[in-house]
Amino acid sequence: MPERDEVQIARWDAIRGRVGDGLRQMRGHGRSQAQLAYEMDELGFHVSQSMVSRYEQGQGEVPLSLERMVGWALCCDALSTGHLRELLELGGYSLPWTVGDMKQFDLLLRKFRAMSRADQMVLRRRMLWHLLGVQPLSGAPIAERVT
Amino acid sequence: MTANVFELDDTRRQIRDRLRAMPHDGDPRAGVRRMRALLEEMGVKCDDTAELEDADAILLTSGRGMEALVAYRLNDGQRHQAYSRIVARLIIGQMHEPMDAKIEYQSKHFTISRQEKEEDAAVAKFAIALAGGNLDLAPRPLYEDVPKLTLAFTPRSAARSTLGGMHLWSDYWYRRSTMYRWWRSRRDVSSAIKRVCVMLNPRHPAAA
Repeated sequence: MPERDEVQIARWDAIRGRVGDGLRQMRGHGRSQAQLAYEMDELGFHVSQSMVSRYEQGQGEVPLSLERMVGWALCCDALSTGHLRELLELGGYSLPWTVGDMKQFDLLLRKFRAMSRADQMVLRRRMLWHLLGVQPLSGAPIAERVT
Repeated sequence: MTANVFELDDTRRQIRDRLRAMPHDGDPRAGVRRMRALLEEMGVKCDDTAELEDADAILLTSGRGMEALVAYRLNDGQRHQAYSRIVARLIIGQMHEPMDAKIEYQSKHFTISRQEKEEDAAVAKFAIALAGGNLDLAPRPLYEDVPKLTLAFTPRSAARSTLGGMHLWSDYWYRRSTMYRWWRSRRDVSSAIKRVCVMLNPRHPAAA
C-alpha cells in the first residue's frame, strides 16, 4: 500500500461513508456489483467485485481517485447525476464540463448501448480520456498510465 | 469546458482544398497513407490499432480534439474505405457539442433516427467517390466553392445564381435521397452536369 499521511487518512475516514453512499446510488438497482467490476476492469481499472462492495460500504482503505470516480460513473451511465458531482466535491476534484455536457455524455453512452461489447469498450476508454483530458500512451493499459 | 465545435468549418474547408489536389493511383495502402496524413494534418489523431469487433472505425470529437480509431483487423482496402468514410463524415456529418461519436460500419447498420440514417447513406456514397478518386461523382459543394444563389441583375450574375441554386438543390438531395445519390454517381450524369456548369459559368469552369 502506498505511504499516506495521517491527515490524508483522517480526511478519507471522514468522507468514505458518504462516498460509499454516492457510489451505491450511482450504480442503482439495475446493475450488479459483479457487472460493474467487470466493466471497470475492461476499462482498465483494477477493481474487483469485493472492492466495489467495500467502497460502497465505506470500507475502502485507499481514497478513491478522480479517475476511478469518473470510470465508475461512466460504467453506470451516471455522469450527469448529482451523485457524481457530490462525490467530486467531497474528493476535492473538479471536471471542466457543465451539467449539460455531462447529460450529453450520458445520452451518447446510452445511444451506443446497442454496439457490441468490445466496440463499446473501445469507445468508452477513449471517452474516458476525453473526459479526464489525459492523453493515453499507446499500447499501455489505462491503469498503468493513471495510477 | 468551452465547446469549440471543433473548428469544424475551417477543418472542412481545408480538407476540401486538399482533397482536390490528392493524387489517386489505385493502391489502397498509399491511399490509407494519404488519407491518414490528411487527417493528421487537420489535427485528427489517428489510431489504426483499435480492437473493434463489428465497427470499422470511430470518429470521436470533443473540445479536447478529434480522434479517428480504425479497426486493427481491416485489410488495406477496407482500411482505405474506413479512412475515406471518416473524411467524408467530417465533410458531410453533423458533430454535436460537447462530445460526439460517429461509428463507421462496412454495411448498413442500426441507426436511431432517420436523420442519422440519411447522413450515413450520404457519407457511404461520398466515401466511395473519395476512395476511387472520383470527386466529380458527388455534388460540387462537397469538395469546392461554388457560386451562390443570390439576387441577380445581369445575365451573367443570373446564370451564376441559377447555377448556385442547382448546386444547393443537388447538395440537398444528395444528403436525402438514395435515388438521387445513385443518379448523381453515374458517369454520364456527372458529365452532363459538368457541361451545364460550364455553360452557366464559362469564365470559371473549375469553380462552376
